Amino acid sequence: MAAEPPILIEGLSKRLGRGVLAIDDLSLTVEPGQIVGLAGPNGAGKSVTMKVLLGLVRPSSGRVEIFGEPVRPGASSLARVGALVDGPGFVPHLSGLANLRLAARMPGAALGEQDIERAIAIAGLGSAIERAYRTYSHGMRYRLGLAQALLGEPDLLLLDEPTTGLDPAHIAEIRQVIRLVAERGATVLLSSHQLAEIEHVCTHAAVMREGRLIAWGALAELRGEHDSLEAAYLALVGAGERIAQTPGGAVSATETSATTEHADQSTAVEAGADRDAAA
Amino acid sequence: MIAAELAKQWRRPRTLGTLGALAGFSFALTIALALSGADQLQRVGDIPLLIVPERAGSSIPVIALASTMKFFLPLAVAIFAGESIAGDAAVGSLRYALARPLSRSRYLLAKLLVALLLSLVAVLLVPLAGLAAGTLAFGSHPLSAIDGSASTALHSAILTFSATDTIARMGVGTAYVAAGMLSIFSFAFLLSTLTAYPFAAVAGGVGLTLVSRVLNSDYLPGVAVLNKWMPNNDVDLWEHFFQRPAQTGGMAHFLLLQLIYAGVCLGAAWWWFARRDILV
Amino acid sequence: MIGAELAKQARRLRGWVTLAAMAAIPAVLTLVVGTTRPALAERVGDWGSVVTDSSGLTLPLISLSAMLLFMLPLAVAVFAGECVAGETAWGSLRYLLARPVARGRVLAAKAAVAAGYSLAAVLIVVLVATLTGALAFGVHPLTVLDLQHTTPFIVASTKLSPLSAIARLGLASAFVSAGLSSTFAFGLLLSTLTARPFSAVAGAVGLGLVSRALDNVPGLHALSPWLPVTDEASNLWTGFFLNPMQTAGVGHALLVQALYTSAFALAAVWWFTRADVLG
Repeated sequence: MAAEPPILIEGLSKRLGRGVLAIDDLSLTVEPGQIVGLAGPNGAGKSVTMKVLLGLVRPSSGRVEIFGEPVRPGASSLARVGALVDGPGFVPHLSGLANLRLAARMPGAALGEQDIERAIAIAGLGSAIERAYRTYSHGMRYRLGLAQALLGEPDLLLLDEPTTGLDPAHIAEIRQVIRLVAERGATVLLSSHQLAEIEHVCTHAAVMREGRLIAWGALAELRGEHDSLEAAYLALVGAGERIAQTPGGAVSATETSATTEHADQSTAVEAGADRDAAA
Repeated sequence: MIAAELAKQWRRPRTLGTLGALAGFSFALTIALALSGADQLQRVGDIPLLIVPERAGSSIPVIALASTMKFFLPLAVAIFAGESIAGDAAVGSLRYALARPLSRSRYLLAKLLVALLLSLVAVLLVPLAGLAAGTLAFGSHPLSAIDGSASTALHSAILTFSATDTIARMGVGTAYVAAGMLSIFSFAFLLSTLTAYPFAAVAGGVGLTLVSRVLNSDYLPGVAVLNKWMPNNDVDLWEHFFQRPAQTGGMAHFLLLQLIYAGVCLGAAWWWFARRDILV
Repeated sequence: MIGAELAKQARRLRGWVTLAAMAAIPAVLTLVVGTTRPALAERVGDWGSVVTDSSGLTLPLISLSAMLLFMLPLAVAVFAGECVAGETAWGSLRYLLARPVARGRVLAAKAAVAAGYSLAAVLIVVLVATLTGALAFGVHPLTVLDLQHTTPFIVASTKLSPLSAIARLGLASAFVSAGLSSTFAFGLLLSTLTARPFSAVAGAVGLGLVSRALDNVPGLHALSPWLPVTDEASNLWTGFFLNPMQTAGVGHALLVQALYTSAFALAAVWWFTRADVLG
């Protein structure tokens, strides 16, 4: 059963409503047990990619498979996927517990009382689980969302910015949960702005920018000779003021021309680097 | 400021779409009649006036105005009024428009005038487009109508109006209908200052029109009394201009009612908007 | 799946308030008419007339007649419009769809529950009106006056035994429900298109309004038989209470409803199964 890769993306492109190319020729294969961090600035296409993987968004072209099955709305392999994308979404007038029970009622998946108990424990909301969802705080909602994503012990976990707006204690918990999930052999794909976060938890990283994949590999590989993933990222993507501070040195033309149509941006970066070097 | 606002609103698809739909209605009506029914007596209004459309192109504006004044024109007016401020709030530009050395009153006034202008254009467009289409289809001839209220089974009271006479009466009638839209306009405008959802303001304006329409008959005892205070009910009185002699009873009351609604709603809008916290 | 949907909707305040209003209005109507002018003739539909205190069975006719114009379409619009747009607004639609269930099934389940509520609305009106009417005026034979065929010399009226009246009431309820199906289907379609339930509800109500407005335009008579909502078609049920039953036009009206309903429903299914769920 673990023969097929949990995620197989080949030449995926997605053009959104107003002609915006949200994903541009993305190819990525994730093996079982990997914890992949999807990094990139806003608008890079991380969220849309996750939604394509969930069958929510139809690709304009390319091939997307989950556990060997092409992704389609209602594909049976979706039973093995848990997700928390674009924030939690629950029915406001029902209690957290009722919401979990509803989520567990998936045709074709035999989720029992045990799974609910486990989810309740993961949510860690105490007696609040019996209160209406609309009374929950931001953090509580995220915890419930995470519990739902982990319902039934999915083989693939998709988390979109899972640590947004959470305090450090919660963040540590989530990291722990992710590690445990990977330990039992599941695969995790999580996206984040915070590279430090990815560095803490992930085994691999994929960097997206303007819909394209500009870097992919094991963390150690990507770090290269930089001190941290963040430094490597900035070197890759280019940010004027920061470059002068990294020992990695000046921006090289080949790295920033990953997107050639932004030549003007790279010259600005180089000009900035020159300015800082001269200062 | 007013010019800037007008330029901004004029080009919006919503504006052009609404105005286009109204003009289109008159044209579509003409086409439909030309295809079938232009040679038959059409009942217009409550009087009723009975008109054979193909005998005079000037019959079309009469029919068009009578058909749109109870729902479509109030809808168009509600759209322009409801969108005026709530539209800015919805897009998030309200706070930037107000965080300037510009008094809120002036802002509101500019919005009001532009929306009023657009509403006026909307009301004018229906009979004008109707006149154009009607004259094209049926030619310019004196309008002859049968006054249903003055006719008996044995004798039809036929009235004839020369082309210019018709246009003059239509002009006054259109002005009357335009004035009659003030109440709906003001209410939708008030709602526009209260909400950040233009749709809600428009729906409110339409809702008022509906309430006005529904509460004009004797569904429940005592409801008929409210009829006098309903903003949209007597908007059809202009049809009496096409009687001889023109009966103007009730029109003054209706116009006064419009002013009352406008005064109350716009006053409330001004008061509220001046004090309100702009959180959107 | 229907069970899950029912569980979601059963506890909603909105549903109960709407159904409660459907029950309250006939009750209030009975009270008001009964206390102020029980002996007067009330208009029913286009050309019917009943004397209230002659029988409690007049109340369902009066109630239907009064509520068909706006209240019943509104109730139906609320249930249809909330159907999918409500989930989108909660943020839970994407989790509902990222599952191994065909989207068509999800829509069917939701629509079925909404349709059930809509039918319940019609039935509640009729039942409550009958009950309160029976309490106030007793169950007596129902006499319906046909104003179309009544002259100063001939009074055209039909007298129906209570059993016969109730049977015809059942038929009338069925016809009224069928007449509301175009509004329901349109509301459902709008519900799949927007993330704001209010817009969907308002749009569905708007369908009736625009249809009626067009129906009243002199010169557009050729169009009237093909409009989804007209005063004439809506009132055809009064013909059931005559002897012999007047069913002229019923077949055509049902055909028109079937056409609009299937067109809107198909559009809703098509859109729902293909659309990207980005929100």
